[in-house]
Amino acid sequence: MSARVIVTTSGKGGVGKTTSTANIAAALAKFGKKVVAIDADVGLRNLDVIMGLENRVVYNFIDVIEKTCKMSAALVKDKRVPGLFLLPAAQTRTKDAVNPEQMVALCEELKPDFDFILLDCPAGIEGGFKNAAAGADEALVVTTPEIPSVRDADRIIGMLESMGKSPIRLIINRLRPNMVQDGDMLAKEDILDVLSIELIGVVPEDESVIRATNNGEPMTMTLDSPAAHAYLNIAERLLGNDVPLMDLESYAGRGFFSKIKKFFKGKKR
Amino acid sequence: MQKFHINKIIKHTKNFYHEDIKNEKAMKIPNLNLLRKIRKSDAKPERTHYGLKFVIPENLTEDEILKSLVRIPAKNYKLPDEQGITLDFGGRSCSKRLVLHILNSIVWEKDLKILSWLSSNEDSVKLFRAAGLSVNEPAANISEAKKPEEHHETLNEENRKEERISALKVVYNSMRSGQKVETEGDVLVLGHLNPGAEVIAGGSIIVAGRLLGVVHAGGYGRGDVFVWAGSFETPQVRIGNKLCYADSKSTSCWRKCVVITLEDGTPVIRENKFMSMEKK
Repeated sequence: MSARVIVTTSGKGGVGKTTSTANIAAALAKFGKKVVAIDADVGLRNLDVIMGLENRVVYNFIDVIEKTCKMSAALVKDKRVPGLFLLPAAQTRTKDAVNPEQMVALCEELKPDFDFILLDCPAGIEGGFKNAAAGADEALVVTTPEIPSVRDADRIIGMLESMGKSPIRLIINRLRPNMVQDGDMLAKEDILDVLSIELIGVVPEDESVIRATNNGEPMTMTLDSPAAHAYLNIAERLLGNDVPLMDLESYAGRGFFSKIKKFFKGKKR
Repeated sequence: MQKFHINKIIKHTKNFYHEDIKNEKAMKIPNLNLLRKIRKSDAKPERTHYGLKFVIPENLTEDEILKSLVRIPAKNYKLPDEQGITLDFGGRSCSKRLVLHILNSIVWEKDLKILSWLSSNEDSVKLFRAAGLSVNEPAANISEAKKPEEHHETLNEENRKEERISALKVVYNSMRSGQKVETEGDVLVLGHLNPGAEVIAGGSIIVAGRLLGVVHAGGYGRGDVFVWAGSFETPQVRIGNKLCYADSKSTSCWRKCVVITLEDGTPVIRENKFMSMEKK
């Protein structure tokens, strides 16, 4: 077994890198893959909270690098989904505590034991990004349909290309189809026109993301929301399956069928 | 660039010194043949236009670096006045201890002339700067470069400059945010110029796709230049010494194929109707 190492990055902060990493990791584990999600955001770790594993963190990957503990001691196993692990970051250190060579070595150590290694990259283009990206072969770039976010994603894609990462795929997060229809938000096509990379999924804006984040349960574990379905589809596409893009119009409540559904269910989304 | 190594140099150099002491000039220039045999792990000297550059392997420990540098026979590295030595630490994160030891036991002890302390590691560069050490690659000594055929060289230089100005730089894909092209000649971008990307050209600029980033044609003062864009969508264009702003409301050419020129010192934007018709 040699894992595929994928970095989730964006350039801009707050676009959903950590949420995407947690949900894709959980979805891949649900498909029977052995997955480790590494929080590469040293000093500002959050992946443990979003995955609901913060109480079980004892060691972190800096401890592994500094040989304070063994890899097995630092890995936190998620008991809800078999095959899902978290390798947390240190909260009391800074991004200078690790260098790209050490991250590469860390990933190499993990590769034989896993199918997927997902690296949650910090925002920015400095040391933290370089460390996280160094160990990865592939990249998922997360952007929201806002001009600053798209511009930062463009910058990051340029840097990833120069680092030789391939394939680099795009996740458009927090899309509001009704705003797109009204012309108040960038459409998927507008973003792809600028970024010119393969789109792996579109995640609609969804209240359940906030709920899931606060509850510490990745949405893909329960699958009761549009965003959860979107992340599950992304995981399937990562596995090489041909899954069509979701019909976001129905989630926006503007489609004909969704209106009928809404009428019968009496449910407001 | 010629690369050579030092190995067991102390053994070999004894006779070398005796022979060269008679000849002062020869003594100043390191005997390259003697330096070819080197330990693989040692700092590797490279001949440069400013003297010698020691590339220090990143896999060495700090103690090994010190040992490797201590092995350098001081007399062998007495270079001509205008030349010196550069130390290149690569991506290594240098400690204060290492810098202090290099200064104490090697640089001052052996009276070496260190021109620059190079590193690609940000922390190391900060440390060198804080210690007041030069961190930039030394520039070539221009006065030394002048040869008897000075006039000849000047002509060649002019020819080269003309070549540079008339050269066309082609970018074969879209330019992303943060990417920049700067040239004295013309630029052809066979793709989009995304927001945050920049092209500065001494000549004209053609962007085959969408022009969303910043362009400056005639960046070195020329006025006989133009900007051509497949789709004009940038809020700012610089041409010659003029700067102009645009948006979807102020110009009818927005999102159209345009050519921008300087006419009587005023930037003029025109729709390239032929191309626009082709699009339709």
